[in-house]
Amino acid sequence: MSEKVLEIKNLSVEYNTEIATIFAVNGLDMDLDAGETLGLVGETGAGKTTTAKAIMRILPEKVGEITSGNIVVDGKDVYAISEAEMCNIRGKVVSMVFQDPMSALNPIMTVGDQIKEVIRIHEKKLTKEQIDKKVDEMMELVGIPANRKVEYPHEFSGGMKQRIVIAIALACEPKLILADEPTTALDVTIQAQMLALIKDLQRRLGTAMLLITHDFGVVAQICEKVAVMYAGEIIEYGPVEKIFDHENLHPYTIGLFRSIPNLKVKTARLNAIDGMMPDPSVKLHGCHFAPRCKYASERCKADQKMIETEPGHFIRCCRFDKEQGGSANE
Amino acid sequence: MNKKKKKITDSRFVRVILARKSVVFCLIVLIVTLLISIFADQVAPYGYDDQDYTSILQGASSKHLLGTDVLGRDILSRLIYGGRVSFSVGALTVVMASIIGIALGLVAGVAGGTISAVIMRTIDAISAVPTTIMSLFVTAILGRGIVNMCIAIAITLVPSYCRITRSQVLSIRNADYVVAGTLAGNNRTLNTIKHILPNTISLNIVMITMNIGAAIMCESTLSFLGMGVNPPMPSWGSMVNDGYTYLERLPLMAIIPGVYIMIVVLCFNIVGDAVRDALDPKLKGTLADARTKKRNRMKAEAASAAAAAGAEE
Repeated sequence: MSEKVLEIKNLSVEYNTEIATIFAVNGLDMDLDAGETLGLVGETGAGKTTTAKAIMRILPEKVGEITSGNIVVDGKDVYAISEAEMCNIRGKVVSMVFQDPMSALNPIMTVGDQIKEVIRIHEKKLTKEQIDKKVDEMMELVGIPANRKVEYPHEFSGGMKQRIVIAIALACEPKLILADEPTTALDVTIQAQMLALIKDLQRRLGTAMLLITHDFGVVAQICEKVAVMYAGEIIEYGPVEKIFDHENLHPYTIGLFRSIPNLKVKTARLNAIDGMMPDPSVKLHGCHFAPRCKYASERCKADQKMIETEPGHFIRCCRFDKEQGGSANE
Repeated sequence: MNKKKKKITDSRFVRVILARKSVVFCLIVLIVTLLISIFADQVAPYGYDDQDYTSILQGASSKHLLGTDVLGRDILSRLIYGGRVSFSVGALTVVMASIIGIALGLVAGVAGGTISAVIMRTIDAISAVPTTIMSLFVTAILGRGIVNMCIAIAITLVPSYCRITRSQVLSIRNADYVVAGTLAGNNRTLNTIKHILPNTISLNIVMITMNIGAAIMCESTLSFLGMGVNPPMPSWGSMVNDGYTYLERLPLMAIIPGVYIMIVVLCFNIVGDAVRDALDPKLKGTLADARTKKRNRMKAEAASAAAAAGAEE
């Protein structure tokens, strides 16, 4: 059994704003083995980025609040250690790649200095020459000639900036990368390059990755496991093959798949899921998806458990609960 | 020699600054003026308080190149000595004001909440008092003298630095790259110094160059009101004020130091502008920098073409 780099238990995050309390994440459980890639999928506002921020402990001060649960990264409880210790974890054990490479780099620092920064913080034993060599290596690793390290972010294209961001994230060979929609801001060809790059680097360095995205195509390409998030909960979790065989899925996941345009079939209109995401400022009980679900019944009003329908494949839907007379398979 | 020269022009900062002729000219003017003031004892034809009662309020002559004032003191010499006070007041004031103001602005912007409120309200209170009254008040407390006067002027200049810095901090503190700095493992203090502070500097540099002029002018006001340097010691500002009384009889006496102040302030502004441009990496490759490169490249091409033509013949 491989070692767990990330364990989240019953995590709930609330944002206390002036207007209302937003229940962003509600009782989320997740774990990730070393070297594994988990795709976290869900629509906007499902709590994906909040989860990542909670792991990094960078929820907005005074606004974001962890109301329950704990996060263990590489054996350390993130919310039990001091800020100084957390600084040693950030960048060294876990690092994060942002969605928008255009704004993730300091505009007045050369890219080389920005890669150097993270190495200098965490690898105190290295000499200046060793750090410089490491910077060159990282640049080459992501496919940018090392002699461009003296240039500033605005002199690079979007795809190259994202490569730099990835180089920074990987510079200290972290055990876990949180990639928050790393390809969303890039066009499709660069996306493909970037995914190939990430996958290759991950294999080489043995890094686990939590890939946050709303693109199933990306998930199918590089993830081993998928977690589908809806209204702050994981409603489906399983190996990528099990999810993509399109059998025995949560009604929401089915809806997500239906809304992807199919190139082989002539489609006049995409299939959308009826209704809207529930208001996040209302604490929900029972199945969060029930109001939009065509299978909804009286039983959905009770709180739902994750049910293992086949080995490793969990669904939060009472239709799969055989003990209670689930009917999904019939 | 050759090696050293190559090194200097390798720096983009130096290249951008040297590429503009006006900037080079202003730099030379500033350096020369500064050097003349520093070595006033050797350069000035007379001492700053040497009185020549035989020639009072004289116009320009071969003996006194810019004439003499009411006590028969040589205006050129006083101008040269006056640079000592004016330059040191200008520099010291701006250094003090910018360091304190930027630091306060950073703290207010990053910390927010009560700390920010306390700092900003204090700053508001300071800027509510008119500049001259404020500096008079402070010099009255601290007593006369160049350093005390600098402190007094600096206090009146602090609010603008503080406000500018704070507004810059507020606009960038939630930028992705600042958060990314935290994620790289920087603690809050380090992150502020490494990622927030450098991004607030460019506006402050413009402020600094503008304030050097303002400080020199403010010094003259204080000197005029008797709160500045002690009388025999000249400063450009006090010379303008001395001459102002005799504007009808001897206009040169006020105009010359005035023009001198104007030239120095203008030079500071132009150089400051160039410094800001040179420090902004976004302008890299635009500006004169690129033009120089192109010119050099074309020169080199022309030279090699000429050499080739010469070889053919």
